[in-house]
Amino acid sequence: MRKFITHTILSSSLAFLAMQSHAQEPSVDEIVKKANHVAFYQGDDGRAENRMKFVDASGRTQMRQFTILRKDVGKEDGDQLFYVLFERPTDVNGTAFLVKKHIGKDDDRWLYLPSLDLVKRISAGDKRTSFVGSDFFYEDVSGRALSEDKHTLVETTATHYVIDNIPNDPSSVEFKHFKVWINKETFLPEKTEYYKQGEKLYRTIEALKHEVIDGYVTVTEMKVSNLETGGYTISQMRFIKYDTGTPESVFSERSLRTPPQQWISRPQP
Amino acid sequence: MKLKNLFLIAPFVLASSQVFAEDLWDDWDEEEQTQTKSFPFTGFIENTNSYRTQDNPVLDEDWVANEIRARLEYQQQLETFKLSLKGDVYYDGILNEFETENRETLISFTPHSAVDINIGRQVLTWGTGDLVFLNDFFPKNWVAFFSGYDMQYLKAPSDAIKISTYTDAINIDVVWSPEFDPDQYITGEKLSFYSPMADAIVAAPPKFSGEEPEHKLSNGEVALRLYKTIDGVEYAMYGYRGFYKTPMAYDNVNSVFYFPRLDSIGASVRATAFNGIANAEVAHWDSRESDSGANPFVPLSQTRLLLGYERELVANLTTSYQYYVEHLHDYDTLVNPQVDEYRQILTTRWTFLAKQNRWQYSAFLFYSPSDKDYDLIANVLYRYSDQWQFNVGANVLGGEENYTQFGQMEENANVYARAKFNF
Repeated sequence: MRKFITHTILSSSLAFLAMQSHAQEPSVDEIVKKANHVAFYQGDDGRAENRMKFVDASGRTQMRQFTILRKDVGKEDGDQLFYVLFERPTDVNGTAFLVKKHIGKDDDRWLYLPSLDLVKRISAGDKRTSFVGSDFFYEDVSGRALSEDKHTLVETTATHYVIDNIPNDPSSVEFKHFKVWINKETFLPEKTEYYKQGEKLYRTIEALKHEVIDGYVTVTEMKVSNLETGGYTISQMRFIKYDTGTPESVFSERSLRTPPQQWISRPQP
Repeated sequence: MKLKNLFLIAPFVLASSQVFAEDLWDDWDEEEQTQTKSFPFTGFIENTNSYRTQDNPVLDEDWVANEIRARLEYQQQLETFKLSLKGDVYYDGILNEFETENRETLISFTPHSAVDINIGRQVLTWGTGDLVFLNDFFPKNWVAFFSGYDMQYLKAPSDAIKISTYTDAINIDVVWSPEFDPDQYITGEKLSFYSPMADAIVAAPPKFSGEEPEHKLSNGEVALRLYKTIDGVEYAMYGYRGFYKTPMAYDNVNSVFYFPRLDSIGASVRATAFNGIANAEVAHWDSRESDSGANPFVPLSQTRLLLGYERELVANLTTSYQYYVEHLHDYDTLVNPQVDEYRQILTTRWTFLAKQNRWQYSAFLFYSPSDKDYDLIANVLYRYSDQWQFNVGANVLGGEENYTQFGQMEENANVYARAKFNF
């Protein structure tokens, strides 16, 4: 309780200082809302080619290359649809993944295994499990609902807002809290640090590169490091296009079995 | 020593690993997209060696499987259609012969925005069961299933035309196989089985086989699925007109086993529930020649019911459970029945992933409280790299009686190892 009070006093005094120095400083809610939008909701839809290299502590690597389609269907940065088609390595070529992300209830997830022609439904129980073996979690790819954490502005630097996030349900996650550095100009979350009990930093996510694409500032290279295992994953995005007009019907069992060539194909420059 | 097959092929594997061990991470920007590449040949080389863990009184061979296989895959996306080829060449170290297997020769096209058509040899699957099939009448390879092969070989290809139609109201799949595609059933060559004629476990020679239906259009198979997802709940209805996929009937006049007529209708539902996935499926199998049990040489009609539930217990540990029951119709017509009127099976699957999914531990157990038999499939997969994968595992089979599904397989129990190189 005392901690909470200190926290509140600290953050409100910081907010007060911030207000004095910069009359138009946004509130914490506005910052996290904007950052969430920039990270996961730009445009009505989008497509990208993505590849991940995961490296373990001994330096051995695996890679996954896939095309990802996204469409927003909810009101105000809510529900979303994702379709992922794997190309590499060759043993996963044609494997497809469909996610209907819901805010406030479990996501719906399906996996298609082409060698068996099998559409498998997968339980969405834990969103903080590895995405296809990488150091990314499902939640890092599709976003974490803002309502799951209490957000506090702990610091405002010359370039960044530093937000601390404490989970409302600590038993649902593996971390105690996480801090996000949000760029004041672009509202891009550029660094995230996850802490366990005892303020032990154990996991970081960094945006290594970004570009402006179709008018939206977009991360094109990210790195997740697991400081406990010594492993890390680098993710690169290419051939990104926003507002392609991908219809909702693309996010269906049909696309799992028959990839939607028109929307998967690389945009012509 | 049949393992020499592995050494014969090893130089080729090593050579190809030099050719294909390019760093996939380089030159992405310049590269063409995989699906539009002009000559995308891929594939793998894999050995499967499965050793019988018990003496088999009717089969001298200690190996259940002993082979090395090369797969070549080719896909070409053209303007109006897609061509897909998958073929295997393998050396069977038990029968001492080279074999080929055409896994896929498929042309796919979209003649209308709401219709997909697939013509040719293709692997087909539907239904909600995990290794339990109620409404999926597409051919299966039971020899591969019990012999430690990669699970993709459980599914044998069909020669079929599949027409899929998508509408707002409902989606419809129709699969027509002009010629009957039987399961690859147990023939006694590598796995022994129970013969009701001999009332004993038998093996080849003679190789067990059934007489397939005459090749004519009216003996084709038709499978139908109507399905729709509403608010995350998947509903489906199924129909099938064809034959039992294994030779379950006996022709008294000509003294041959054959594939009797079978019609089926069924339904399934699958949805998220209790932090996991729940599914239910039913099917009514109408054994057309049974005549309500009057014909003792064909199987009785059945009603099949499946209930399943899966959830991720903790991160990377997933468990699932299934309850499955077969109700034999006209049970009273059986004289001295060996089987129960209600055959029940419980299954559970446990899967644990570790170290960036490099290690995958899994166990699948069938246990029948009515037949008092079991089948445990335990497997450890090690992904050494994106090219190399290794599997070791065991098929532990047995039961109280020698005539039940898994009980008759007791002397086929085996341990297996596979090494796979992807290119």
